[in-house]
Amino acid sequence: MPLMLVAFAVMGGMVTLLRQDVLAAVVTYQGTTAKFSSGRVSGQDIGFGMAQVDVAGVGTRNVLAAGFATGTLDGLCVSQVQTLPVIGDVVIKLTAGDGNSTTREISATNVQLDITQLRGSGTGINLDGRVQIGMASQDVTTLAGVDNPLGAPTGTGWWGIDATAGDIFSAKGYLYDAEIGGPISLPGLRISVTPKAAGGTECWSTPGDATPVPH
Amino acid sequence: MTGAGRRWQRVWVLLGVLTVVLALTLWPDSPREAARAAQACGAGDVNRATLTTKGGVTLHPCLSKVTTVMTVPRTQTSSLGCGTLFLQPCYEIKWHITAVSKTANQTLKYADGTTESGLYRLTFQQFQIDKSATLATSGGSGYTTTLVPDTSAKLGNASGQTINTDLWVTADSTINLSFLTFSCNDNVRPDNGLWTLADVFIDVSAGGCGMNLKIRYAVTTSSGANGEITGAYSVNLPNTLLTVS
Repeated sequence: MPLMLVAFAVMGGMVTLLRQDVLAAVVTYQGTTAKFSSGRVSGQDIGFGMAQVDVAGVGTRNVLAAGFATGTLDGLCVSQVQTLPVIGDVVIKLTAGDGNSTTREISATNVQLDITQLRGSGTGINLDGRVQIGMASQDVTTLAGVDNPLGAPTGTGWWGIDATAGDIFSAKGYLYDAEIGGPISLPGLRISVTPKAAGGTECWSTPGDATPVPH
Repeated sequence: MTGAGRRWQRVWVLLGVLTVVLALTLWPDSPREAARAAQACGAGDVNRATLTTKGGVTLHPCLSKVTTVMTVPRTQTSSLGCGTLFLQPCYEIKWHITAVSKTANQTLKYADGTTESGLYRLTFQQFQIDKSATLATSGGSGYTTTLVPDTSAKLGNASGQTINTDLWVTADSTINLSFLTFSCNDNVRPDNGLWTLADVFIDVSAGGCGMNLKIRYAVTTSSGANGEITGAYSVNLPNTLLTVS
């Protein structure tokens, strides 16, 4: 029990730091993808580029790295199921947001999501300014003054899209890795660890399902 | 549950919580940071392409050599097949533009320093696909990325703005035009005479029932400063599923 209290105290401290825009964060998932959803993801200096990630216990996987220099989100949910002895399937879930679909209350800088599948419903995916398709991933620009911000392999064979700005509406997808290099503000942050048998649910079941996206 | 069972349950829950804590406390991993060292497009950036859009904007992208295949399956209006005896009018408008132009003899330079000649630059004005579009990569390093919007998609179209989409394509790219239809073998390629006829007619507007473009590079530009305008959101892919396989 004392250890558990320590763990919760540490986690509380981390959450406080995140809320105070102090801590950069990277959330990595071992061996399998996590599900994510958001009412809207908006970014400046946005880019998509094919890259590779090393997944623990699995090896190298190809992903579409979506990066933006500065961005805002209307709600966020990230979840993954882990199977534990005795307990069985446990849903680890991070949610944030203010419940208001007209605000983008989450802000972050230097964000990268390593995606394997993404669905943008309704308005879907919007790209603004100069949109380039077919450039090398290494040439996609997000952070000013940083070459190859997506960390993509160099040379040919790695496809990318670059845009001045972009939005993804009603986003649901799978990701291996979520990385925020700069400050992030996560109002309404909640982290839960709930056995499925006790009612634990993921962010959604299938990308096209009717599960509401967070706001 | 027994006392021992409860103790194990607490241990596993504790481990789960610690996993989340550790995940949140990790800073960006060092391998990716290392990969972010400055990387030019070939030594001294010599492998950048130099391209000029129809509107006169010069660009120097580093090109992937991965083809984006844009497919809009041609409408088949008869179940009797595609023989010359069966009329297959291309009446359904699946895509439309307000102007088109073609420039031959285009050469691209890729990130590995190789070049490809014999390409065409097509310029579509106010390019919109109304249904059945699929964009998929070909020639990627062990992957295929697919984008499938399930309703009308804008690929260089904005209300109140003139948007051009310049596409560098291979000679075997095809479009199927509603006013140049005679059978289902009515593919119009940029390297044949039919396209010249199309150029004449499409100064006003045109649409078609099919398209298969093998795009090496595409860029949208507008009448704004340096060919760029913000706030127009000229590319819109509604209800779109993106997959990496």
